[in-house]
Amino acid sequence: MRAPGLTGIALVVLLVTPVGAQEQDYAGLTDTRHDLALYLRPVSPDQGEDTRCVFCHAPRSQSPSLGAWNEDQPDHLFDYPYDRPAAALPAGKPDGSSLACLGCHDGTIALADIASRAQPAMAVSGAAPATVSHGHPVSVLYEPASALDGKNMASRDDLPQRVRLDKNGKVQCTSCHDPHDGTYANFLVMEDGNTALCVSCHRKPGWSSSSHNTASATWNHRAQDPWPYTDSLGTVAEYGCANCHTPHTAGDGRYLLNFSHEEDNCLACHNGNVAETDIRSEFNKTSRHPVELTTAVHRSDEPVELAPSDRHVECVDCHDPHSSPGKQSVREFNIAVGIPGIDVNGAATTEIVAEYELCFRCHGDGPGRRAMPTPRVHDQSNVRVQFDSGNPSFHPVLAPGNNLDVPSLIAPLAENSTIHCTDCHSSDSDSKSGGRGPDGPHGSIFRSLLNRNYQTQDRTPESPSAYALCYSCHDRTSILNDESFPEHRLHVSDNNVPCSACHDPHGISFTQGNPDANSHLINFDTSIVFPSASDELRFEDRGNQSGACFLACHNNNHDGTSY
Amino acid sequence: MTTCSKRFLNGLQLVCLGLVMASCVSAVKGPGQREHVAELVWPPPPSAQRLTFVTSFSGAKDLGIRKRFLQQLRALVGGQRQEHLERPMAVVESADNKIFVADPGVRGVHLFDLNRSKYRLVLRENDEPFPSPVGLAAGPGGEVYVTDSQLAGLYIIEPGDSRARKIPLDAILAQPTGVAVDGPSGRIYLVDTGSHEVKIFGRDGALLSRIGGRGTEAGQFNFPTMIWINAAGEMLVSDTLNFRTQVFDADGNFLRQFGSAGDRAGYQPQSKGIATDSHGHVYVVDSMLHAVQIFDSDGSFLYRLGLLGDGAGEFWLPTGIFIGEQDTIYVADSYNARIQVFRYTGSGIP
Repeated sequence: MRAPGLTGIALVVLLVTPVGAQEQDYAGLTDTRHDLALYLRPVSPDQGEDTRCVFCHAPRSQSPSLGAWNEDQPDHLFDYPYDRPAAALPAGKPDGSSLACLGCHDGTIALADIASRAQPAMAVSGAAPATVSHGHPVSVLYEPASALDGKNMASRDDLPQRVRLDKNGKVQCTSCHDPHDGTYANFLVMEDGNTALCVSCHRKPGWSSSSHNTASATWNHRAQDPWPYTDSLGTVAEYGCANCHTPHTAGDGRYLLNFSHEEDNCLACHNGNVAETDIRSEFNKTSRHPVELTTAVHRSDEPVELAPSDRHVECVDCHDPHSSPGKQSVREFNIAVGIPGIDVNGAATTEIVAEYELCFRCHGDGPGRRAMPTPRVHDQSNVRVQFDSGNPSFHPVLAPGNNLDVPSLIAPLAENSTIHCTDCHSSDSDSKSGGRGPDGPHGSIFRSLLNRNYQTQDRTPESPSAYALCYSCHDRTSILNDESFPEHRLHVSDNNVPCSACHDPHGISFTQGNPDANSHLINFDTSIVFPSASDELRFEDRGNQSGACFLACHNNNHDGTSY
Repeated sequence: MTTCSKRFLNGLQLVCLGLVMASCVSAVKGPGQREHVAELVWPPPPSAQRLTFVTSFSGAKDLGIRKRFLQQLRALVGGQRQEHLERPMAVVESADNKIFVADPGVRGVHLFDLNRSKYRLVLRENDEPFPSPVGLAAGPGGEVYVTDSQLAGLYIIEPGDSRARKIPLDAILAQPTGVAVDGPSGRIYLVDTGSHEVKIFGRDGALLSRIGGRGTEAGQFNFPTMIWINAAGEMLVSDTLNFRTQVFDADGNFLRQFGSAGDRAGYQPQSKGIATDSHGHVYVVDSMLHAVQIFDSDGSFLYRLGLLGDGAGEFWLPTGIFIGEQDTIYVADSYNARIQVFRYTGSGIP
């Protein structure tokens, strides 16, 4: 231990008084909850300290005390928490000035609505999500390049002056809070702690115009409080980031979300009580995207195509809450904001250009997909392959269809039209079905998340409702008047054969079928249609509105029955 | 100490010695600290040794408690149970060889039953969590008291119970933290940090007296935190933001005080957990010094154990302390997510 001399005293002043203290009287501290000497006489007047400081800045002791047990060991110097070099500290623990905060904010002297711990929020090479846990990380290096959300983080030079890193370049409690100044609530360094403070570092593209940053919606005070960490009296715009995130006491910590089940963060508002549309009820329907099935499986940095063990769907797999479109069609908006998907060739793409590219993430080539509900001559569970524009026939999702003569189409649909997955797969109460519910494939009372009834059982009595899905584009009168296939009425109406017995709605892959046998989406349901007496099971295209069948159905043998 | 407890500590001592020796090779923390880690006794020679490192544990596995097959299955189906310490704030050993750890990080109290080799996370009734469990005390009948500073309540875990039940008290608490029980009388001494008081309750929850109020005079407090009843029945209170320890008789009459603000060994910049051993030594955990400081019963400074670090005998914002049979010393090393166990192995002379 060096004998204290002038240098020692100067050092003491530097260490004990925070930078800039010479010019400041820390007036912002007066009468705040950090003014702990409020009712007390000076603690150490002989040392000339400002008595308000000693609670966090221990006054430098005059003489070393060894202790009676210690015969000849020198005392260790005190570790000024804000004075330790980063290199001397293990990662993953609070350090620097945050130690001074956490000493009181541990649930004893001050309630610890602080669960912050020093876990870097970085994606560690393919490991389990080393994401923010419990609270916002402190004592981590601010390194946008290696942060989980790196591409959206402000560069160090771009941080507002008030949001400071410590001398080692680390985020500390003091990056968001100024413990010496109670001007703003919670000693924040700026007034708006819900959004402005967060976006100092987290620069989400599209955020400023996002409805989550601009909407004037309020909670109608029905059902569960959507904002458990706010006064819940404000608007969506006022809460901003705090609509979904909380910095210190997040549900179980992942992504600092309010609720531990991912979908609850969305559905707390999107249940008709803040947002007008009730999405929550959609997820109570029998056919749905099962967002409730998985928790803590989705990762913000997951690959576009998921491993079977990671197969899941959460709201954010289709929606970007940081650039939410408001009233604008989500279908179009997802394309505008560039969320990832799988393109027509099965390759991962970082910015989708069509809705189907999003659907192909899970319903295309990826492993773990389920078989189609109807058994067919050519089974195919890869939806991307079914819709390929090189196929003998396909519904026109990726490109206009092959058939240039479809008399049943209801205008404005025409032979050169294209349609979307969500034209069929959507809520049963969506706008296309004349309902007032939300558009989109959240949930439906009809199987396969179809927005209308689509019967596939054999011997279904024909009616407008039995095949409502098909009839929404293909005019029932035209079909039953035999304007396309001249025996439609005989089959569908007189003999109660469902559309799906002959037609495979998505399409037949060129790798399995051919234009002579699989035009017009012909791919027989093998639970209804069987081989003929001559053991054939096929259709034969003989030109426009002309063909022949080799099959047995309802005990009728067709061995070349033609039209 | 029961034979089982002895066996546990002696057995673990051997296992852990090996572990620590291995870990200290790589655990170089800074100048002057390495030799402390390697010695595992304090003070280092040539001073007479007083304290011996016994073990450190971060979860059930470290205590030899293994998950049974059914538990493993349940963990797979129902999510992981919180068997690992996250931010331990307080620790006690109860009479029947159980170790309890209050842990706001997992919002519950860990119960390590060493006799039956069982682990359990104790919550409140209806599986409600403890948002801020910070204080523990072991009662004479094997019951354990829990304070939750956020719920502003006192809870009891009866022997054999898997839930903590709220004790109705004859007083409103502001922010309770430290708790101690006087064995013979069953009286409960509760530090109410928020009202700068110690409240004394009868076994039935009736408020018997209140000590303190905010101030710096003898007998007043500024954010007191932890409390301990010594063998003589005296009450020791960490008067944290007055930077001192105050001692009272069982009825709350002020007896003596020691400590002041400072940045070196022997001062008390942030004293919290407090306990005494069978020789009357007073152990005060200081979370700003990252140390356990030992004083004699009059407050003369004897020794500082610990620096900021994660090696054996080093601490990271330590808080709670408990001294059990055979002068076994448990320290809640909060941000190292572990309990460190030492034993006083010196002579009886201070």
